[in-house]
Amino acid sequence: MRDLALPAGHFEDLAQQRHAAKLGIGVFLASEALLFAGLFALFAAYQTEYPDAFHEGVLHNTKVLGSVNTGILLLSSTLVALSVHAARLARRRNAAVLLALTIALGLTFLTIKLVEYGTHFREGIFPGGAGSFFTDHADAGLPLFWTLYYVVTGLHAVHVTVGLTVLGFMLAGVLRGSIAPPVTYKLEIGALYWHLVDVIWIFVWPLFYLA
Amino acid sequence: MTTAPIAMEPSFVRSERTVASWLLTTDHKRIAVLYFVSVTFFLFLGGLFAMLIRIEHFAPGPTIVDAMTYNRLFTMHGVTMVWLFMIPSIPAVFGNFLLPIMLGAKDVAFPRLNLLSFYIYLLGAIVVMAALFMGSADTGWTFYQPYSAHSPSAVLPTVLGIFILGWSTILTGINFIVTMHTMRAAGLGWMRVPLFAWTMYGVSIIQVLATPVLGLSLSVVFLDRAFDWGLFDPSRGGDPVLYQHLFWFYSHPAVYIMILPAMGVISEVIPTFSRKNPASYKAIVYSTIGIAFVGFLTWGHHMFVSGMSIFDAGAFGILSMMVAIFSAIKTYTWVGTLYRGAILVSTPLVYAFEFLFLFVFGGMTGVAVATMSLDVHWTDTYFVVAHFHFIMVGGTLTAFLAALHYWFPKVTGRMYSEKWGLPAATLVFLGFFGTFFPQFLLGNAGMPRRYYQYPAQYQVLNVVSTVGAFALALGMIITFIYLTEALVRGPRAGNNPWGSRGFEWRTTSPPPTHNFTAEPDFKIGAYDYTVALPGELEEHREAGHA
Amino acid sequence: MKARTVSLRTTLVTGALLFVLWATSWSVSYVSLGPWSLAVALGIAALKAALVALFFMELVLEGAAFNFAIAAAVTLIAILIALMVGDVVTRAAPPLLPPRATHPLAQGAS
Repeated sequence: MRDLALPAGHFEDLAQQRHAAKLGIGVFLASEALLFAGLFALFAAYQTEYPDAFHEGVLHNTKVLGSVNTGILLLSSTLVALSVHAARLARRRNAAVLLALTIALGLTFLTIKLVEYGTHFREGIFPGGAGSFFTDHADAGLPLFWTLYYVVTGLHAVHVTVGLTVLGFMLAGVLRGSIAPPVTYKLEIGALYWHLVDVIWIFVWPLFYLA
Repeated sequence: MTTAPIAMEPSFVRSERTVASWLLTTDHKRIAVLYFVSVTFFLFLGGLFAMLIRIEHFAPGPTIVDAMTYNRLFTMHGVTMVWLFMIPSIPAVFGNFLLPIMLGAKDVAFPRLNLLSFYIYLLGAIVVMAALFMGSADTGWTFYQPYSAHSPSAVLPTVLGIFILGWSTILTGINFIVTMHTMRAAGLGWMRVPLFAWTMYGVSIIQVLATPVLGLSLSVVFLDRAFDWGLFDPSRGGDPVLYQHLFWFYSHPAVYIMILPAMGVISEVIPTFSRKNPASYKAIVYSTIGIAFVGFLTWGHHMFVSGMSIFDAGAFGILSMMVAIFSAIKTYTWVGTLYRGAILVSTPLVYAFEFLFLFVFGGMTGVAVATMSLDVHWTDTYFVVAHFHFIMVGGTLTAFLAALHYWFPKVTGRMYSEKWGLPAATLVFLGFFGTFFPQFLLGNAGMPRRYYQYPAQYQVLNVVSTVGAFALALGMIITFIYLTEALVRGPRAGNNPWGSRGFEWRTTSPPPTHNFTAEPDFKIGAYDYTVALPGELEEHREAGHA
Repeated sequence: MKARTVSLRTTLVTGALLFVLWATSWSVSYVSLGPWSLAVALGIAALKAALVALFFMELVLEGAAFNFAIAAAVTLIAILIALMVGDVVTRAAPPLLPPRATHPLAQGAS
């Protein structure tokens, strides 16, 4: 079994490698935050221009499903944080189970999202103001609400998928034993990405479902 | 933390000679060379587009292309120059080569990510080239909505290529930031790090935070165009000014991505060739950070006449004035460094002088166009075109050439010919000035930009500008010819032909694969000319200098 | 480089708090608060995000560099939103000074 404590050749020691990895993911998460920020800014500006249409859009959204999904992501963040604890204590089986549950929750999130999209499609709500819904509801700004909804939740779903893939690799590493003390920071990095996916949705939920 | 001394090893060029060892390298120095070949190709391609534009403008009416082709030419000129040359040029070439060496490290923090950055760049470049062969976009490099959603030109592959390129800059930015934080040699504190490294850090911060918003803007153009989602379509309630907000939120910091590295080069060249420490190291550092942050706050000055509110316009006008303060601080510091220094006239320093003059010219006209009441007259005219070319060509390209000559001996182990360097630099300067100074006059006289034809009264200045462009092109071609000749047949340069205190000059020319053959000794500062380097006095005596 | 970690208890308490806030936000959304509903919903969201960031992402332990990256991103996002919304909000605002009726151009003077 390869010595886990051996750093890559250009690093002095494992502590430096860990520091570099954690800082690297932190900077990357900042850039991901800016990506969604542009969308949130666009939403904020359009909502200011069309407050009534946007409120109407919120009222017509699949609130229960969206709120359940929020709870699912919050639970998944809790579980992945617990899996980091388990991994640090070298409890390989617990860490793996918690990771597997996190992934399962993430897949559930995506499934519910697809169900929501199906509901919208059946009601004739398509991006770009296409669909029968918009011929019946001709408020200016309503197509923008729904197009933004698809762009934001779609982009978020892409990130959920990437996050699940990353967590899958983490799970494999935990099971193989290559993610274990002293290199549990690798799991922390995957978990950090997942937490960002959660944080983004924490803001998506009130904007599109509640207010 | 100490490194065991590495045994005497061959230079990074000779260590492995196969093609695969170059294409699959994780050595930051080889990756820098790969980038250099690519960005130079795109510099000349973008230059070709520029020459076609200038030839077209030799006469007021149609000259060599039709109107649609003209629009595609200036679009591709902008796209190629901005994303395929200017943004990667100094950071991906010189930053990659020098940052680890300047920090006393063996490589960047993530060497494989570094190679991935290069191949993502290459992929983006290929997609943009494919767009070129599909006829290019005609929207201008800014892809303003709603036209970009409906234009009959190759917008989709162009924005896709740029989107891919953005990933390369983000990954490089992450790499450089982490390298600065975690890979500095033992005992090398932040306030002893070379100034060029600081600008790599500053530019990386901007890249990491700004580029995602570009990715978003272009993605929306993609969706609006490919699927007609109409997010900025007025008939569906869309607001095109909001697209401009998102686009310029990236694109204004982008110009600081383009100029900060150039400033870093000047901060290295001037102390070396005046054999003096910078007039104020801290002023340069703090103004670097200042530009990196305040540069994010000024984007609306590109939108003064687009329909943005007067309130926002006023805010952006004031903020735009503020960012100029940092550039002024740097300029005074550079001049103060030259003052009473032991000046060695050489091609890098000549380019640095050109930079100082042209950058100040460009910067002051920047303050002028930031004044909204004046910009109403100058916006979308050649005045603005001249302003940003003074900064980007007179500033960044000049600094790129300075860097090329300054670090040529370090990278190649050979020296270029000053006999060619000084005249070529002069020709570049005269050609540049002849090309772009008339454009200030043209713009002030009212000639709009991005117009295929112009009234006959503007022809004289346009002809001068075109002649200047030919001179500039000739200067560039001559430069690359003698540099290539020096690469192949130039005399061997020693480890430190300039006698610089810079950390990169304390290793061999070219450096070995792991940058230093023994633990690097940075006790003497990178700008400390008050003491001799170990062995320097003996070398001087041996060479016959008393 | 921190070897300290957030305790298991902190993680569990944070998780519980998140659910409380989630339930609160959901319930409050059925109460008509007029223009305040968005502010309340976003305020609770900000609290939840802070909890995730500080205790799940362990920002509360990390050094200055990491926190600076996050703080810089948040500041820029705030500025982007403020100036974009500010543009939309202030577009219809009247000019600060009324136009002069005796302006030379208004009178057709050269």
